Amino acid sequence: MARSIYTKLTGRYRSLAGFTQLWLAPDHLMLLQSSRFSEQYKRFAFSDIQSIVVTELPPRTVARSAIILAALAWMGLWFALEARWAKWAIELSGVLALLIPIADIARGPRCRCVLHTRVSREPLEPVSRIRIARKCLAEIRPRIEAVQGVLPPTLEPFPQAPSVTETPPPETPSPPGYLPEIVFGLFLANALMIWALMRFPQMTDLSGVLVNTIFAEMLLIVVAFLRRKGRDPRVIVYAVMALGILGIAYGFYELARELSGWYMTVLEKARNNDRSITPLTIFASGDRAQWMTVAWRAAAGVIGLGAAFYERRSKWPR
Amino acid sequence: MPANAIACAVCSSPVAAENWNREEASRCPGCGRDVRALVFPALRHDRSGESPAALEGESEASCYYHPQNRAARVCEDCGRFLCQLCDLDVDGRHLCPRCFDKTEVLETSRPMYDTMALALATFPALLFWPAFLGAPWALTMVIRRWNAPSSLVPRTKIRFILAALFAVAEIGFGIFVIYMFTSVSLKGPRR
Repeated sequence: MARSIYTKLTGRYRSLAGFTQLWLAPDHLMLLQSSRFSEQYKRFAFSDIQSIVVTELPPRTVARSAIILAALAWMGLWFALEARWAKWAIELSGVLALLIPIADIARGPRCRCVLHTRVSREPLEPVSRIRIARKCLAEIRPRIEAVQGVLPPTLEPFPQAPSVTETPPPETPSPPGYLPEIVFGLFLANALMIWALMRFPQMTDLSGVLVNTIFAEMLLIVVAFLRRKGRDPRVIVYAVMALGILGIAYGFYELARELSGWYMTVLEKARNNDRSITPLTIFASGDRAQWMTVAWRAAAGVIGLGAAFYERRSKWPR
Repeated sequence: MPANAIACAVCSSPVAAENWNREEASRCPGCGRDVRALVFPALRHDRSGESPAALEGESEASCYYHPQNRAARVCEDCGRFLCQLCDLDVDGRHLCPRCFDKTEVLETSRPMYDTMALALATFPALLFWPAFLGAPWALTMVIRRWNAPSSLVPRTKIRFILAALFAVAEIGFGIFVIYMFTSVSLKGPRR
């Protein structure tokens, strides 16, 4: 094997498609991009490197916490299971899931690193942690300065871009997605389905669909609020959705009450040795509370769609 | 490259010159994240080159490629006169474009035959029957590409060795299976 001029500078930054890695040669830096069956090489001569910029990224606290909580909840199934093998399988998979955020925390703060030359701007993916960035810069900097010298503190004015380019172009507001509209559409569809169940209680299959669509409502509202920040300045739409959350919470309470009633009926039948099937029907009693559920959903759907249409027209006129 | 091209790696907001090459990170005015910018003298170098001078009299030597331009250098490989436009500085040597084309071009990609051979030896075997095609193919690749240039960075031959071992084992197993089938079918069922 011929001796290579390269020494390893970073570990591999893996992705589904392959990996990238930084290597150091006597006179240049090489970014290796592997797609498993072939390798691409990008070389950056020390004499050409103009700058290396490292920006720290925020910690993934929410994702980490979610994984830790989910893993702990998963491991809590230990107390619910009887079979020993199942208990250990649950614990092992839970520990493996816990290792993901632990490893993420242990690797330290994340960062993004970009290398500039006169003709290119290359993101250095392997430099994904502040610790790695410090080590890399400590290694590269003296070599670049040995070739180029040290940049003196600004003795003469740097060439500035023409003033025309300094003023940023006017922002063209891009309209947001249609997720709120989809939520309001779902409100209307669910109102219709609940009304249908109250009117025709024999449509038991609709109950199964409703459980999923009501859960989808909640999920879509959460996603809509998460995606809103900095993208969607509409106010009325989100106010209606916030009110909708209250209605959905009340709906969940009603749902839980009906499910527990169904469960108690099944238990009672089992005690009496009654083997007949008890169909699960929700929203079929037709009492005032359910009329309220239909009413608020229909109102929220109509008001929300109208507000979405109005606010979209006023903020992003065609 | 203008100074304001030194930009945050996340939001591309310019990093102020007073925040360059500082030991501690500064705050990005755009996204508010901590930014550290190492800037080198190459930022100041103007490498756009000089424009070629026009030929003024018949006594002046002209460029081989541009007869209207005054010659400024001689190609160190072929000896042709070159104007400022055609003079290419390659690691301190001055070459004309044609001689530059003949110089060794740096490789930008290489196929990894060892990984291919290992994949051919393993993945088809997961579905059993494709291994009858994959194993000989893998072994052929190991033999044909053993001396082919591998990665530019240090890399052992372990993938080739593993691919050869797997392929030989699969071929051996395949021969055994075929032998068992044929021997059973020739002898007929035991009574």
